[in-house]
Amino acid sequence: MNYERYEFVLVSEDFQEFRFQSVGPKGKISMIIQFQEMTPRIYNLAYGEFEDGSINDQKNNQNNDRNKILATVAAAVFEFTAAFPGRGVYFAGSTLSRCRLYRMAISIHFAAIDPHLDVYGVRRINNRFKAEPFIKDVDYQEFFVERKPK
Amino acid sequence: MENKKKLPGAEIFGIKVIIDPSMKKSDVLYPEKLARAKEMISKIEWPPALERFNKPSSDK
Repeated sequence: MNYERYEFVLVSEDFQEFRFQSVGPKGKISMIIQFQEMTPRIYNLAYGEFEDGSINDQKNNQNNDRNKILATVAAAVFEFTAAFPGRGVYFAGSTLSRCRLYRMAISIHFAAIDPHLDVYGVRRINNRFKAEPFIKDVDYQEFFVERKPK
Repeated sequence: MENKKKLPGAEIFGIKVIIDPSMKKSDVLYPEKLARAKEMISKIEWPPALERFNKPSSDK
């Protein structure tokens, strides 16, 4: 896959924290990606600007590099699931527009993602939450991916 | 950089992922969002292919 992305990413030894720098009109902004353990098999994906020891995942950093950041986060997901094929990654948009962005990104790049990862969306039906294989244009707000078995 | 090593075969999307043993882990970020996510996944009905995610495991 040949998407524009940040090329150098530092990762902690346990692969649960990735860091890179967003570069643009606002200068260099430290970015952080965390895979947070929820169960031994399911990890929550969180990312955003790294400010004073915490993530701001709702701020637009105005470096005009949204897609580049998203591709870098996607690469981190690939990396994490390659290191731990038995672990799945859960993520949800922090806003409705973020959810829509994730849906669109997965839909557009599904053919490239699908050989490597199984992608699921969580459908809300009458207060029930059902995970199902990702279908384009369905209004998912939560997502789940895992490495395909080799 | 002498403390850091490039992960063998770790280039995905062309990204060079470098393990940094000196990286200090941050605190769990947005613990309230993580708590909501945990609550959410406990409610999810998984398809048969993913039912194993309901079971505890050790995959290290």
